[in-house]
Amino acid sequence: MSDAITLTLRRAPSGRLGADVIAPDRFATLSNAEIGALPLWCSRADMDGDHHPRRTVPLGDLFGIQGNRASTVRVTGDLGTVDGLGANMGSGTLTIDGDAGCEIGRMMRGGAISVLGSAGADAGLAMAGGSIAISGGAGERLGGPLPGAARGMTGGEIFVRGSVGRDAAIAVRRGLIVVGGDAIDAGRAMIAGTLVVVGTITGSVGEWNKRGSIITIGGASVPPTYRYACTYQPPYLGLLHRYLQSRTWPIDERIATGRFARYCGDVSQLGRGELLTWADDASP
Amino acid sequence: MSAPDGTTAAGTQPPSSVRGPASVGGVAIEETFAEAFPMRGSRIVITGTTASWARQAATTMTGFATSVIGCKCEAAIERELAANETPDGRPGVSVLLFATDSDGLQKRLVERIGQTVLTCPTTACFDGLPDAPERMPIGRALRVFGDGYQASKVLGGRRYWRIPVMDGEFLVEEEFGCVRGIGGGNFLVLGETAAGALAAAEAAVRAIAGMSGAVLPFPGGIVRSGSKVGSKRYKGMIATTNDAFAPTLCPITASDLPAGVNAAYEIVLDGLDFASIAAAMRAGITAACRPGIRSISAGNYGGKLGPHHFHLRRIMAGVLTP
Repeated sequence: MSDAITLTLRRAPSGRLGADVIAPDRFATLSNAEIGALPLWCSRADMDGDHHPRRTVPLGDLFGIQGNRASTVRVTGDLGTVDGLGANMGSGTLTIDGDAGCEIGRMMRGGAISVLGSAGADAGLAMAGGSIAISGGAGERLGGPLPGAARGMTGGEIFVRGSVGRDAAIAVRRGLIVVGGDAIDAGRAMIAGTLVVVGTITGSVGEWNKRGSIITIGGASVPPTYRYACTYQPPYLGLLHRYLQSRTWPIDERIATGRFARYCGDVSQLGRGELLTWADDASP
Repeated sequence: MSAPDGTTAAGTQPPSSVRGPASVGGVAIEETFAEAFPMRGSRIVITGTTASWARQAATTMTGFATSVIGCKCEAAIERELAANETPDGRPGVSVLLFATDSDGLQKRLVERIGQTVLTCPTTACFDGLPDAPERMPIGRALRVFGDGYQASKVLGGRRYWRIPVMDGEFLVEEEFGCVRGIGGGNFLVLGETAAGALAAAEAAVRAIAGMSGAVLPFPGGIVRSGSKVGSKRYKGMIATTNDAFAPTLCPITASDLPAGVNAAYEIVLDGLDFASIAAAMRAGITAACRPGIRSISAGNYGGKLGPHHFHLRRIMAGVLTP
């Protein structure tokens, strides 16, 4: 048993690699050899030869493995095309040392994923708990639903320091998403939950939002299905600011000190959602 | 002294293995003990846009909360909190509130937060005992004031309710922690003059103010109407004047006042645990031991009613555990 497990990708795969098996809680009971035998889904070019009938390859064929039986896992190498890291994980810590592919933390229930680079599309897809922290940007559908599903993220937290692609927080039911940069077409069909965008939201904002909270400091184009309510200083944002500080994920001070214009919407739906856009600083 | 039935009496000293000082600064520490009772307690953190509004809400919330006999709870401000100590980064005040049982505590919290904090401009209200395993759904009960327009947010596993009000929103935590606290810790300041005894009691209150985990629920932290169990004359009275410590009755009652004592004041303490009360008593007694004070005593029932005994000399010897 070791304190941590380190996986090192020996060479970048030529196609996409499905690495759903890489999850800390799964590794916690496995020996080095058992970890190496876990199957990765890969394109044919990454197998022994194009003629090979298999569609999976043992993890040990592509990754160097150090350590065993630990729930702290570090993955290094060029991981931009490695998808599904931390999928379904329920506990433990997964650090991705660089960029990550798509669907990191898909349906995760607990634990923490830290991406030291950027993440691809569908990060936190249908996640129910735990946290994902991304030092760079993220792709489309951050915290969104599985294909065909009505609900996206139902719990947990996603922090992205950079900007995100289209449809962040789409159909989110519960949970917190914080984006340090900009977003495009964000908060679509939110059921509830909270999306904070420190930068600007371009495109549509909160279409078909039922009870979700969308907060932006950089501004957004208010949809015609939202109604202006008032400009005030929501006490909840001070709480949120302090909470993010405690999570060592500080964001713009203006979220705590500012007054925000509140718009109620989407009135074509329940109308219980809100769009809060920074208006001015409340400090005297 | 105050107990769930609000009575006091002098008693005998049970055996104690630790002997403390018989006097502090020339003031006698009587070899006796304060007898205290189990209570249920909560810590409530109130914040506001200014410390003044947080203090206003806390002051209103802790009004008419001196004794469980007539007020159904005992409460007081524990200390003021800087902005960096509160959950929402605004200045705040922490309050301790005690009742005889969990049900009572829950009812009092819903009533008092609903009537005195929810109504106070700019305030928000948070649980100050997040690690307490016993939880009470206070915010869940208060949320219905929002008439369906309330919204909940979960941060770090804790749920908060945003209730729309006329200056924006009232933010209240869904659950508040409840712990097994202690009510009725006490000591008596026996002085040569009323003015001297009051000054010493005030000094004790100042020394205790701001200490964590213990509060003084009576006016200004000081009680002048110590009571005994029941009545010698009136049936149905739960508590009546503690004639043993009333200087005007010295010649006609079994007085416990030493010669030369013309006034006595009582400091009553409720706390979240034994050590907090003991530490506060030690600080208060030390401050009260000044010229013009003849002795420091305490109220008890002979050790037969309350399970928590605060032996004055043990406490002054630095022993802050049972």
